[in-house]
Amino acid sequence: MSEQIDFTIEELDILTEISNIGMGKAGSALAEALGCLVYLNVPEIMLVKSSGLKELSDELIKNLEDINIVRQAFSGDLTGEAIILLGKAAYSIKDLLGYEPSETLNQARQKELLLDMSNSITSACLQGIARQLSLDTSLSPPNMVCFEQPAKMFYRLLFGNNKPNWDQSLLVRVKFHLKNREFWSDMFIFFSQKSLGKIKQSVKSLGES
Amino acid sequence: MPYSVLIVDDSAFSRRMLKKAFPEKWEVDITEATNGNEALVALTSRKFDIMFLDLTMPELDGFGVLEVLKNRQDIHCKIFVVTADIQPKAKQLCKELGASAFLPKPLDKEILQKNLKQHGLL
Repeated sequence: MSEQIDFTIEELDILTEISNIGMGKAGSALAEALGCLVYLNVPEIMLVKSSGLKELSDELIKNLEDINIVRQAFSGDLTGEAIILLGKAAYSIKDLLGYEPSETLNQARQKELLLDMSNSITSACLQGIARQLSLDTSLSPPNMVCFEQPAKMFYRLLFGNNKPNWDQSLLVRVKFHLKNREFWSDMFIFFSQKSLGKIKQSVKSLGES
Repeated sequence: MPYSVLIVDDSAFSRRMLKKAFPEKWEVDITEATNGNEALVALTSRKFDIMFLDLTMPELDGFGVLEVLKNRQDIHCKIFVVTADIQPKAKQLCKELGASAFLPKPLDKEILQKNLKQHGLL
């Protein structure tokens, strides 16, 4: 078992603020694509053990119905994966992306839209976080895990019947929504155990500066 | 006489970084609040020359504070929004709601100084 890392309350506060800045960049990227104001929630930071992940997943999706899931890995000083949940009607904002409201998009085009949006917000958020920590990371292409599936399938679709192959992860959760539109996005960034030592070192330096 | 300053941000680290960015010889008397509700309590209990206001906060966020203050004729202070939310529409909305300045995080000392001078606070 790898060494478990703990973060102090002050370090978690610093991480929340860093994630806030990353989230701001992601919100700005989404707003630029949609041409409207995107509402941001306070990011949530928590250390997660793999043994508790199923319970956490069930809690996270308990009020959701059908969802779309995009998955995107990243590597470098920061390694892990981002999992983006988008509401069933995410592509209902196609008019904000330049399509006619009456225009019908086939499934392939709908998926492409969701992948593009996910990539845009994940990339902006992660690079914003990496820059604050003075660490590097690069993203793999996004991958559609599921399209309009019941939310209760969330854990099984991501991990199958197995536990993840890590003991501990740092989870950053950021949420976006639009006013008076059905669009919402819930992003979970899991930083791998391998990254935690470097993250802690960077955060410690920031706290001492 | 020192300027009376209210800092509103849920992050202790962020409040500390802001204070570090204040000009060296700027004489200030600082009060801190961790969310919009605490900020409104502070604003109704004494007069402040300037409020530094974060947007993304629990309970009552920065937009909520600005909306309340727009309807309060009895509370006057310069409002500098200091935020990670850098969307142009967020900036526009803050200005419409009465913010004097909109400063992106991480805060640049020189931009802060320039804005303080522009508003006669330095």
